Amino acid sequence: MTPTTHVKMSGISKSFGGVEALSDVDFEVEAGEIVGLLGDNGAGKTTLIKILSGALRPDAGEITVRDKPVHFRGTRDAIAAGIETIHQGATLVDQLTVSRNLFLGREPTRRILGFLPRLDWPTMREESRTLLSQMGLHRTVDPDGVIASLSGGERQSVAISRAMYFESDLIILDEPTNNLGLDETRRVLSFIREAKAAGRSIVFITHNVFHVFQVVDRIVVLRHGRNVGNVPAAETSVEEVERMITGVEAVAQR
Amino acid sequence: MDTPALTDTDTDSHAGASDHPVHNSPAPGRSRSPVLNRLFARREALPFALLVAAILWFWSDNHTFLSLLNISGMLAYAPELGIMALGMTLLLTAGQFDLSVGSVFSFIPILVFIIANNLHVALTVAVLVGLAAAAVIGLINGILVTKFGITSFLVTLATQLILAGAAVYVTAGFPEATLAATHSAIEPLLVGTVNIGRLELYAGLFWFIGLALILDYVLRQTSFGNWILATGGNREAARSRGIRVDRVTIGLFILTAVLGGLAGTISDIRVGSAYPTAGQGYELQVIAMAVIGGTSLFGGSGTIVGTLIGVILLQAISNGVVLVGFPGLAYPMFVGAIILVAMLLQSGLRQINIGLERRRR
Amino acid sequence: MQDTPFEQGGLSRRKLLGAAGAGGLGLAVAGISAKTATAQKIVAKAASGSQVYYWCSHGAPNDQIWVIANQGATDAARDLSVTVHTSFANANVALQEQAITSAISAGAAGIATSAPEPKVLDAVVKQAMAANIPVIMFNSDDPTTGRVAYVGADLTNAGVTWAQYLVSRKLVKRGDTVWLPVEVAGASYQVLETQGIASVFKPLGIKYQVVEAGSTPAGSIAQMRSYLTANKGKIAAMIGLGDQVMSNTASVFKAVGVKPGQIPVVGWGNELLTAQAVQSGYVLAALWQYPDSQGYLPIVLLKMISDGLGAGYNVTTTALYNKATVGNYIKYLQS
Repeated sequence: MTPTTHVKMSGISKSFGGVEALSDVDFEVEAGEIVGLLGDNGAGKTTLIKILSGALRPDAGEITVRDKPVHFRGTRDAIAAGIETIHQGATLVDQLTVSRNLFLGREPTRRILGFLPRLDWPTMREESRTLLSQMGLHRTVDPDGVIASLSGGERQSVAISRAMYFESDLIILDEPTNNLGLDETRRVLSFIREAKAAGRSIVFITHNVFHVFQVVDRIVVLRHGRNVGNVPAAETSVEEVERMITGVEAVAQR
Repeated sequence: MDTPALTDTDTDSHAGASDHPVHNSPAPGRSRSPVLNRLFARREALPFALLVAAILWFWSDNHTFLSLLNISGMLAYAPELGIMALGMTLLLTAGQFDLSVGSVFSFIPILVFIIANNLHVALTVAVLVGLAAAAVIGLINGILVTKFGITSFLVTLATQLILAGAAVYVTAGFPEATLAATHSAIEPLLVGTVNIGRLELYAGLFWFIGLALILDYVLRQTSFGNWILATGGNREAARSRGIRVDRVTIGLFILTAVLGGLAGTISDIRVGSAYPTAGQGYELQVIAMAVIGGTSLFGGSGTIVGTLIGVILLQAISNGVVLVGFPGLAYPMFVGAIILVAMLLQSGLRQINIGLERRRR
Repeated sequence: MQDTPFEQGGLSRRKLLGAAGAGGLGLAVAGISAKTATAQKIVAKAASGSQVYYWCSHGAPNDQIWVIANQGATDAARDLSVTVHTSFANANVALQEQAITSAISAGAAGIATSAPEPKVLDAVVKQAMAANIPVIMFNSDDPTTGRVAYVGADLTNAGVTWAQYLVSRKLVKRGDTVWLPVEVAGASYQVLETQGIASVFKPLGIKYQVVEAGSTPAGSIAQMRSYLTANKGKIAAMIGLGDQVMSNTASVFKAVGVKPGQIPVVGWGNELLTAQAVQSGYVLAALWQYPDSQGYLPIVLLKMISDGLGAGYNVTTTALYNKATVGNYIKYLQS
């Protein structure tokens, strides 16, 4: 099947004050592809995905989603276009239950007595249970338990399954395996693969080159706000990628 | 980084956590009824226990504590603080402070009295104008916090000073502190009384209970309530889910200010005078009521029921220390000491709860 | 045995100025200050060009009494064609010191101020006097500063007046307890008034209890009501040490079912509600403080010194009114 472009960012530039965070960056994700976005601190990864998720507006450049140009005025627009971001620390609300988090911003409601709006508890709990069992977490995670009582890996799983449940086509994961133990990292990586199998596209941002090689199809490297590397994972190596990150290797586009 | 995850862990308590029965299987070696489990773990359990303890203590020392006359007295005054505490609860839950409510409480009724006395309009109109002015104040607070990024503590500290100054300035120019006109339709609605035997209940009490019911429902049973909790718990996460956190915040500032204006108007019409000294220090009392009731100072969890308990508890303590005959000059000392003890107990119990939680997993 | 201090048709400022100038009617001469010599020296020197006076209250601008006093000072400025700068220290001593030192450096013709606590203004007042700027205190006195004169209530004397009122009419006796509610316990006014009360009650074996009610209207009502609920059968009388607690009297007594006159009440009477309570019988007698005089008269006296006229006597601005005489005060309060 010929790969179709899911999202295409062209010529993206963004400056903050006098500092150029991104300079004429092209970035593409094909449908059903897992792209690893790497780069050192300050390379511009976070800025790029903030633009893609609608939290920031670029100074220059265009974005198309499935070949249609889009202009995101805020995160709502990106979400409406099927782009879901899972940030570090900015995804789940610790004090709320798993169930309330899963439906955050998209709460199902009913009207009781004909007019009073009310959260649709039965739907929420049913769907939560379904989702949790899909993740294999139904035994240990209670939909009515607070997020704060979950481990890091469980939280990531909840966040990812939320993204999948709401049929986001493109899921952006910002450093999802930071601070996770071995088991939990394995679980997150296997979810990423499952998401791809379910037809989602994924952008996976990380520092950890080894994790990247376990799941991604293609690797993109940013350095000092520029796209310096765009290679299929199968055609490169950890050493080459590291050289691209640190700048020893010149631009490599394959 | 967000507040550390495990400091506020309770399982089945108040809005944010379980709203429905959870079938906790008892940990091995322990057999507790699930219902009892749920009740004890609720954040409101401790303030409620303190309230019961306080009532029993005061009553046993002086039976007049529970006399209808005394209860009538407590219920005349407490709702005026309570109405403000309800708004403050939701605002705290969304992660914001409003230190200006005391000044709103003082300024709005002054405005109402001046309009009613000098512009010769019906009191009802004057009250509506006053509440509209309160809404504008809340809007200004909200915009300064959300669009200009200044912390709510500082913004509302400034508006508090401005309003307090305005109250004085305006009353210097219009020194009449009482209402000239009477017999307006709105008066019984705001300050009318209902007599049940020897129990005298003011309208303010019904406003308080009614608002508490509505706001509790909003917080726990509606999507807007979920947005309030998320905005206070993790503002960026809420924003990334498409929740309009700025609108939620501004809306709650407006609500808090309007409730402050309503409470002040009810109080001043009942007392019969609109002085700038009214409402002084109320903002801290009201925050204390919310926090003792179980609402978190850091945002993300709030309980209207808890605030209700906190309001009654603090009023009972203020009143009780007078009745049991503590030396007249020492009242504030005792009230402060009792509040401190209540907070220590609450913190201690929370640590125990967390310990039990971790062990259970 | 005060006559009604009002001229016919209301208080006339010019008439009062004339009376003051003649050193006559309505003023209680409490003795010539020991600093007469200094005062006369100041009289000689201060007849200079400056017509700017500074009037600084230690209180908060939102207090009704200061609003009226401020108006009095402003009216004096208008009537005497001089400039008066008024300010409020809002209970901040440092701020008040600053205000006075600026007045000194501005070469003021005279300074009028009130003392928040004894001794705290000693240094600045001495500084002013050394610069030949006369200082007159109003509302709350501090003789150790060496001020030229004091205009206002004698708070200790107020306490004595109230206590004697109750004793002389046999409303209290040995062994009784008298309730002394106050807005802020420990404030200097409370302390001085209580001292006056104690000087009468202690030798007679009459007990008293100072109770703080708080400064907010609704809050102080609630506290007083709580106290009365517990103690209405145990107190023989009430002396309200502040205006707010006194203005609460009628509503609080009504709420707990105490009838007018059942518990004798005396105290301050500068509020409309208190005057009304005197009319309805809840309050037997109340002390009027003439806050406008406390604003007006210091400026008059300072100007007199500037003009080379002598001034060095204290002016006590209080008068007790009761049901028979409350009429004039009510008119004034309602205007």
